[in-house]
Amino acid sequence: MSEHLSDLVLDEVLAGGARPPHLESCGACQERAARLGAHAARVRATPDFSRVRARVLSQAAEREARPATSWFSALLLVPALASLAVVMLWGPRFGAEEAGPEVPASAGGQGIRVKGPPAVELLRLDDGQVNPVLREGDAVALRLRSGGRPYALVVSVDAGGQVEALWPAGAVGSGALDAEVPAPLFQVTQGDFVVHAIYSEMPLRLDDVREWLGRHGPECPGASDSTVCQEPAGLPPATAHAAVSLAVEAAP
Amino acid sequence: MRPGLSPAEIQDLYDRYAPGMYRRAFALLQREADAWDAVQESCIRLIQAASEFRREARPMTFIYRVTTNVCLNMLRSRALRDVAPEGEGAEGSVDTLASTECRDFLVKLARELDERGLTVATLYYLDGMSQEEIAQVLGLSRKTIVRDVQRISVLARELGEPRRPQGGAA
Repeated sequence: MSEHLSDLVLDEVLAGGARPPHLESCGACQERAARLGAHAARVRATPDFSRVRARVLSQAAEREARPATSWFSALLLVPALASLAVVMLWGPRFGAEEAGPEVPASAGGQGIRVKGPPAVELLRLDDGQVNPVLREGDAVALRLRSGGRPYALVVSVDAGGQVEALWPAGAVGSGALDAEVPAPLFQVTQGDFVVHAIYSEMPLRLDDVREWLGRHGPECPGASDSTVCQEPAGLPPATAHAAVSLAVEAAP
Repeated sequence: MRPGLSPAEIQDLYDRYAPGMYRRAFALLQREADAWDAVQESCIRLIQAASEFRREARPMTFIYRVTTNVCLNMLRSRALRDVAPEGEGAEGSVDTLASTECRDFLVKLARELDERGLTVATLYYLDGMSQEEIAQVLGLSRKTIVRDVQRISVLARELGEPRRPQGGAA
């Protein structure tokens, strides 16, 4: 070891950390600490110091305003639209009129679920179109209908087969639909993908359905005219699967 | 605990650590504008990794790691090797001769070393850290760092090893 303190230790001292005993008795280290301290004072006095601080605070504020969910690795969320997030068709206040009669939840909650055929849709927030051909940068919201099942697991699968949980965001398993969780909003980037929703009576683990997802596209196995599958083979009983295939074009 | 940092915490973090970040960034990048860009990017990374940063027993090691990584990435991606350093009037430098010599040496090493090797070399030659300190900053075992330093030293001798600053020694 050197007989002197490193800049790392001296920086810790200058930042308000404990003073090592060596510093009290070593002139060279005291001189070095004074030099680093004077340099820091000069830096703090420069206009750039204030300018960059303002930028950092501004960027941090922008980050804070964004929801924490991600969609694919490169997608950005839409901070300004967070207040519009509750568009999922469940819960006591949303979507009941268009989706069918209300029925009490059978498990896991006090809310009221919407009855009707299972579905998953993406709603473009700009114009309200459902499952449109999207443009890169479009803001969309997930809209789910569980057909009375209390749990949902929503994932996206890209053209390369990459699976990512969309709802619950980044989850490893299903979430309870009666929880008053805002629907995630996304800003899409270019590419083709399929959004799968698996509705169930009991929570499912993502790992348990990952292989199944890899074998199935948006269509219902064995049914040519529907994208909704009731109790598809390979998933637990009373499970429903809905999917939508979407393309995202390049921005003009 | 709240995962993010409040504006007041960010401001405190910046006021406390930014001068040191800038000094390190300037030592590596040798240009004020680039060094401030590095400070900004490093701060954003700290904010993104707020939970991890809060758990650090020695926050300064985290600061050093992040700033060093940002600067080395900039050195690579901006091809700053071809950009002339600024003169002595620049505010950034504390040890002008030493840091310039080290930076030039690191640029040579950058062509030969992988990312971790270059980071270790930076902490060793530019900061004069002991192997123990490098291990703490990078969150690696001392044994790993000893091996890395041995490997780098062989290469360094061939390239013309610079003087190490007063602070640390292996």
